[in-house]
Amino acid sequence: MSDAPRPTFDATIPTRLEVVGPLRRVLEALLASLGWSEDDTADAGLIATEVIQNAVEHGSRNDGREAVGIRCRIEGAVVTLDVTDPGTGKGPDSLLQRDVTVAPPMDSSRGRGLYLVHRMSREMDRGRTDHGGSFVRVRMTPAEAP
Amino acid sequence: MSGHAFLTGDRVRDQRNVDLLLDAVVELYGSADLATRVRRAVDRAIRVTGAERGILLLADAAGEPVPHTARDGKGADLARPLTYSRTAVRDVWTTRAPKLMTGTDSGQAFDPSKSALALKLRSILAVPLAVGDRGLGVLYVDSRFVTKEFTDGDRALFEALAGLVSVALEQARLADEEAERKRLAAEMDAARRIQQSFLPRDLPALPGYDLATLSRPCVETSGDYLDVVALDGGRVALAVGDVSGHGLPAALFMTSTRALLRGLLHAGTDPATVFARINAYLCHDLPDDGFMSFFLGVLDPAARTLAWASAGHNPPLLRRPSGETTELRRTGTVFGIDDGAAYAVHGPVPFGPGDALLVYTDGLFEARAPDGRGEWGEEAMAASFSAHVAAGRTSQGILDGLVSDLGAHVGSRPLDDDVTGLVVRGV
Repeated sequence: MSDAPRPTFDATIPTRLEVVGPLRRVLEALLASLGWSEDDTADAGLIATEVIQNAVEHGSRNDGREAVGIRCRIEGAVVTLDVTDPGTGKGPDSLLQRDVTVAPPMDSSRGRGLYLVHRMSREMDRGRTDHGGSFVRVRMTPAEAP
Repeated sequence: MSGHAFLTGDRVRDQRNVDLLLDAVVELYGSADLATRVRRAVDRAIRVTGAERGILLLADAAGEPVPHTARDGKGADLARPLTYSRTAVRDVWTTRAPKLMTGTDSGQAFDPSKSALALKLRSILAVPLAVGDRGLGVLYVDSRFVTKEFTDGDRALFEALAGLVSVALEQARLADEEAERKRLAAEMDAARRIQQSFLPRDLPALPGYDLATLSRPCVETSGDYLDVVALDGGRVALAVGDVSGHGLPAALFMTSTRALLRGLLHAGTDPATVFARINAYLCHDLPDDGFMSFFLGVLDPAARTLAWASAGHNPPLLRRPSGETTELRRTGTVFGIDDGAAYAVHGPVPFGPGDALLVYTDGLFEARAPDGRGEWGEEAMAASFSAHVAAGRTSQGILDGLVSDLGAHVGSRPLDDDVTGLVVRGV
């Protein structure tokens, strides 16, 4: 087995919130193994959780019968996470029209997580997939050098 | 080195473990069958924790975790019967909390009746498999203490893996349920199509008469029976029956009654004997609380007469051109109650131009309105029948009129019962 970290990780997960927690642990373990500090790892874990949870809760019917795509790419100290949803929840417009640069009102059901993601990640993009869904891409870098 | 709870500090080993977990994510939700995915998950659990053996236990029908997949560190199935710490498994299962046991405390966890190997001190790690509030089972690994002592880091990664496995198991259950639902729906659809094919399609020629039939099940399959059978001498048997209950069980009895009736009629059996035979069969085979009402009319176009027998069936209406309507009363009790019951045959009575007969099941008049006006009722049905006959409508027109009047009463409410009707008119 090579001791270099794999450059990409692709997975398709069922649209169930129960999968988010374990997945976060796995992603945190991945970043920790890259030498990220505990704080940086925890921040990245939170970002990943918010994005994936958002895709399951609002981008799908949230019934376990669909799939959310996860792609994680590692280039040097930059980790890029792409999360695609099937678009069967509130629909891509709900995601794309939200202004994530301002804190959402307290009673908002969508956007708080993405506001957080926007604030915490180095870069965040949103868009539509070819299959009627939406995607969120976040780039994360550690604050402390690994 | 790093203080991460799930890292050992050994870079090569940490990276290998992360690789194993990442592979598990890909594989657990991949396309392989569940048994393969579970087997690989247990193999990964062993490698991630550096354990010697791994066992995945799933709750059985009684809600107790029993071993489902048991593997050794070389990727082979463990020989049964298995020796493992039932105490640790039971604790994890009941508390839904992970358990890490090292040293002497684990030695006592083994069943003392087991082999000497089992009594060697072991290090044990067990975590619950659950989705939400639903406990699914327990993921368990162990090692001889001299080989490996588990750490909190092992436990953290092991728990993450168990979470992924739980969701995969739950997904498989959902998929199985979905497949079962589809299979049942397909079977019901097949049953419905078979039953539909039993409905009289090419009605026998009835010179001097106009015949129409109606059959509308309230669920996929019906316990109502409607048949028109050509007999010798140009005579035609008109049969309508109603098995108690609905759905598939009722439909099965309807189907076997049809086969029996047709066999008896084709053999030239007289109606009284036909009734006695069907009754004897149903007395034997129907469930204790089951019964069937049945009407059989024999129309003779040459003689222009009608004879009938009725096993407790809702009385068909015979309307004369004068407007006078008589009910064709039962000639015996319902089938399935008394295996010694005798059935008389009434008639033949004249049945000619202007005469009209309605044979039906209770679904045609018992349907209820949603607003509390109650069921449509036999009187309303009789009045509707009489009016449509008086208006000079065809048999099909009379049935359409009855359904339309019934529909006006119940509105958009779905039917409570199978609706079956037969109208024959002398022309």
